[in-house]
Amino acid sequence: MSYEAEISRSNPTSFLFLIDQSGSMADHAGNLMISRAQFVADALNRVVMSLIARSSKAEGVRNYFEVGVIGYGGDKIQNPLQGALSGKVFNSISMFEEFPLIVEDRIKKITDLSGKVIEERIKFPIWFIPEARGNTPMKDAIKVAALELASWCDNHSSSYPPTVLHVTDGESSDGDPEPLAEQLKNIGTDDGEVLFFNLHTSDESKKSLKFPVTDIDIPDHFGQTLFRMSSILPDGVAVAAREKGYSIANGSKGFFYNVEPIEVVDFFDIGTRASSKSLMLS
Amino acid sequence: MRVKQVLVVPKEMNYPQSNEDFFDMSRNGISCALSDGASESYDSKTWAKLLCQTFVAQSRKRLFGKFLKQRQIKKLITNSRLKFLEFFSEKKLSWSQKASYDRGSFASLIGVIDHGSSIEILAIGDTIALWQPTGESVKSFLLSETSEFEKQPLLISTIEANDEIFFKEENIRWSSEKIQKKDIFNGSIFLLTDAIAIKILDLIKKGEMSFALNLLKENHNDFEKWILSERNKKQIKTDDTTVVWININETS
Repeated sequence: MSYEAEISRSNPTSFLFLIDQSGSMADHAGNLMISRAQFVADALNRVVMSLIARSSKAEGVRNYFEVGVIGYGGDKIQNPLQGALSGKVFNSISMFEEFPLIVEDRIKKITDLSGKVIEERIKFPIWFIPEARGNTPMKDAIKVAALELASWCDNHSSSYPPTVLHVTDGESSDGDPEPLAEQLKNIGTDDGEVLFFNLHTSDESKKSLKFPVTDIDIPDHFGQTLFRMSSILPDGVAVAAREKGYSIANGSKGFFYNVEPIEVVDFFDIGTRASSKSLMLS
Repeated sequence: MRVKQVLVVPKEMNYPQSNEDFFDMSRNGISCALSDGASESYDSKTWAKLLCQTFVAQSRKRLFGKFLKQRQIKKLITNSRLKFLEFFSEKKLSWSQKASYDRGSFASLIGVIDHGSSIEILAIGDTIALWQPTGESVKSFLLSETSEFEKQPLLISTIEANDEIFFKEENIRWSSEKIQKKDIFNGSIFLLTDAIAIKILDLIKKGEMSFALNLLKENHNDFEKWILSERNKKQIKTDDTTVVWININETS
């Protein structure tokens, strides 16, 4: 299992965002004035835009990636995207480029060459709208994800395997998700098994962990379960994480424990860099 | 100088028009350049083309000393960038194209100038020049060890803000060198993009110099067949592949 397949239009890879939309996600994100759900939505919209930018050429968008979202909360496990992207879980990156729900104008602060901070008006497309309701049917959500991934892998046997990026702020309310997570990680393409990366966000004062090698510092059962559910980082992702300044050892897992919602940005960015080695920069 | 042969095998065989390598030679044969556009770029194909064309247009013959000083490199990048900006009118870009355009376009470059009794080579990034000083040895510039290709290459960017890093790296990750023509066996010099450069240097290291050099002189069909077979065996990186064979003692 090598995680070396080249990503091309003939052999795209996929990213599946598995998002906790339970009621507690409506809580404020740390000291920020927005909810965790809103913060995750912003991060998700930003990473989709980044994937589009990486795939866009002067002649148009190249379909290097397929992207899907599964949200779970209350009694709903669903593709939360709307319009043209609602019909199936996985859609090509060019479909995302073509069908944002809305393109907002936002202000971005940038530093110019002289060191002066200036404001620049940028376009910010929105595909994913935050929701938060009910309990946390994580186990069933992983089952739905596994079925989608099995179908995707059947149709893309030569591709770099899919990466699942799971964000949650709480414990599963429908039973132990670990056996299903193990089944999900057994799905794969000829190039490797599905990569399952997990992020646990919370405001608790417990120690935060990023890309741990063992669960020795994880104090609670649920955190330990998420650790075991997480895949070891393949080389391409490990390189991306090191470039972002993280300390990565042999056996580091794609797992963030007890982090502030702002860490979702790096988690998504590094997780979707799974392909950086395979896309080849030159 | 005269081009003996150019071999090209695109990364995606189904999309040959997406090949992002570009080669250009001046009509009088005084200068030539090969550029490898980076995949994650808005339009590295155009960027590679403009870099080669600008290098060829601004190169001048010098009987003494070097032509490629830092001032000339700055002029090359600035002029190429101006042409790139002219080529794209930002106002016409959609939000997704603007996002990609703002990330920049990147390319490596290898350029050669014929100064009469010597040639001068400029190497930026991981595109190399390779020649034989004698019938029994091989030299390459700037990179010569396969391990050197594992680092992220230094690339020329369409974004001015990247210049600060770029110019600090002179004589480390980009450089120029003047070589006497008498020190180039048979007058043959090859310009190689990174995937084939790694493979050829590896073969030479394994003692297969003759086989490696003969590969660079193959006809297109045989060369393409060999590349595709190596790709299938995962023995070479799947990438746009270009080999330019030049004779420095002949005129174009």
